[in-house]
Amino acid sequence: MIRGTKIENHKNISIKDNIKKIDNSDYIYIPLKTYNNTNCTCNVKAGDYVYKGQVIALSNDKYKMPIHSSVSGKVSGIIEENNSEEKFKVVVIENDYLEKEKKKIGSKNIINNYTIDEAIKLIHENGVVGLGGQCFPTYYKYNTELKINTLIINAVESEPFLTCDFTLLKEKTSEILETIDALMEIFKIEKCIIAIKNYNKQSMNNLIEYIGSYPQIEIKYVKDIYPIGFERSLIKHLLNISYNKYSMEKGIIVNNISTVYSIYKALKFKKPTLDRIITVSGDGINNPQNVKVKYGTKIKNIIESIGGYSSDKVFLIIHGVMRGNSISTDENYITKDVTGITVLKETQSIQDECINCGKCANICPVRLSPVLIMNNQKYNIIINKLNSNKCVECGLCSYICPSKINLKEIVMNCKKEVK
Amino acid sequence: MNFIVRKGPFLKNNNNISKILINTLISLIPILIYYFIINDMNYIFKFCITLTSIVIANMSYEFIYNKKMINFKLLTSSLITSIIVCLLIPKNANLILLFFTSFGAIIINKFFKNINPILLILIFCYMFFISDIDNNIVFINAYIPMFLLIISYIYLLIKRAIKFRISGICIIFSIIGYFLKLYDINMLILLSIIDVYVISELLSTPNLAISQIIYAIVIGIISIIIDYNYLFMVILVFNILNIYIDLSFAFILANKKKC
Repeated sequence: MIRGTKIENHKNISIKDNIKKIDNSDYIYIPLKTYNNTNCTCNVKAGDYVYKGQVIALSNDKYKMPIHSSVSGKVSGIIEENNSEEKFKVVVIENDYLEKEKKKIGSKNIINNYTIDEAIKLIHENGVVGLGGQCFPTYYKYNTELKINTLIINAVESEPFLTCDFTLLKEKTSEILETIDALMEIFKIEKCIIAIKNYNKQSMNNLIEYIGSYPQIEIKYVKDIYPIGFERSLIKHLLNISYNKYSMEKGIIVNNISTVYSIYKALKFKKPTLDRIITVSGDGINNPQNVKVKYGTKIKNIIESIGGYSSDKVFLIIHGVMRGNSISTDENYITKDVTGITVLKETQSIQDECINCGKCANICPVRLSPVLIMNNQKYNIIINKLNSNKCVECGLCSYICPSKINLKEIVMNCKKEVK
Repeated sequence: MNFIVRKGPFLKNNNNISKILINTLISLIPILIYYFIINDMNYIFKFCITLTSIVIANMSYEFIYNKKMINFKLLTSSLITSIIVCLLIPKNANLILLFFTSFGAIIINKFFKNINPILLILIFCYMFFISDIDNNIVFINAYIPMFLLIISYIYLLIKRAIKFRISGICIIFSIIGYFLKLYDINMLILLSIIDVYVISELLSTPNLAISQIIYAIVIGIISIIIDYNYLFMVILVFNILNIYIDLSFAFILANKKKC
């Protein structure tokens, strides 16, 4: 049985309007880091002219993931940034709004007839990564000698407020189904499941209309509980299978809806994805909606474009209200791992002493005991034995706690200690 | 613009300690009304003394050590403690002793969080006034309070204000004991009050589902075979051991996962 709880989803507030395209950034900021915060080797220097979609850096890890420029323009500088965890470089490009591309490549009518190697090469070269928030290189999932039996398309979107995948599925249904069909044919995958929450009938109708042409693709509605959209929970729920490190071990690949759309662009147009749909929502802004923005756009530009803040004192949250943290400035920019920005008005929650109710231990999806970790946080041996490093940072322990203790923070600190 | 920096999550469940306390208090109302109906003024007087002593003890402690005045949570928890004590103390308990015992129990609880103050009060009362069932309340039409207690348990279960596994298992054991004719219906009612409100008290019981089940089975078995007067002592010992029971099961589960 999957552990979790139903959380008020707040999704309706951002799906009222159509997707707004925001393209007003004079400067674009591309951080030179990829999956697991790996640093990259930069191919450009200040003063160089870069084309839209040009590779400006390559990751230094085994994945060798390329980083592309999302606009055309002059590199105005390479700055060094510090966040709490590490130092990294950021390429700043002055946007000339000309959208110049180095070479024009036509689209391919049928994307089903690539060989496995060709498809993997395209997915790799075009920098397709998991856009659910982890940024794991997608080509690596397909580049396996193990037999892949099942492809799961994750359209669950567990995080409250976020509707970007839902919106993308609604807008690009045929493209997404075409890509899934191609992936199944190229990689000889027998079964595909699109996992979705049934919270909006309209999107279902759209999907059901198209899916008739793809009998091998199955839609499965999942329970509206958090965190069912997490890869492990989803596989367990749909197939009752657990795995150790990667789902490929069990012949399963999980791709997010936005990732599938990136694969579509890579296979159809041989182009990297340089923008994405993100959800900008919450009671701290005037017009919550889904927006299409280029990677590297400042959050400030996005919020200003949709009507600004509705309060002077807010939480500006990236990566979702359950998993994310609030940041101190809106000068930050959109990277591939950002699925949404949630702005919430200031709320006070008074923390009480733990009453030992055990709700945190009984809801944890990976069966940790946050209360025991908290009570023994001074003793490294004990917290190590309690598997605190297995925490998936879903935030359910803090959510459920009647004493309003931020157990997630405590467990994450312990996780760092035992690493 | 002022951006507040904080670690997530930013959504919280609407359950809180005040709600848990209120729900526990509400669940006590039916059985309390029943007690008021079947008892005399002496019982109401004893209730008031117990309540006053527990509230005074709490207030004094908070005022002296934490410089806090009485608040809603403190008052509600004192009310709950005193009601449960009143439901369980022997009829011949001395009021003055009860006052000082309540005071002492609250102070001890402030230093040893995992010891249930209700248990301490009951242990003192039963040590000085060894009670047989005749000294306790004899229930008229005894199936009514039993029914009320089960309703209270279901209410607490729905409101998620109870460690339901512990209470549920212990109630089943108590009913088994009654059907095995190990005690009569009056005893069953007293045991059921203990099952719902004392054995499963949040602070002093295990957290993990597996340790709750083991704890409940052990206490359940002991409660039907041991003399009622000594049951509180056994629960107290488990209160102290519970932290280790929880840790042991957590280690076992974590090891199993690693394997």
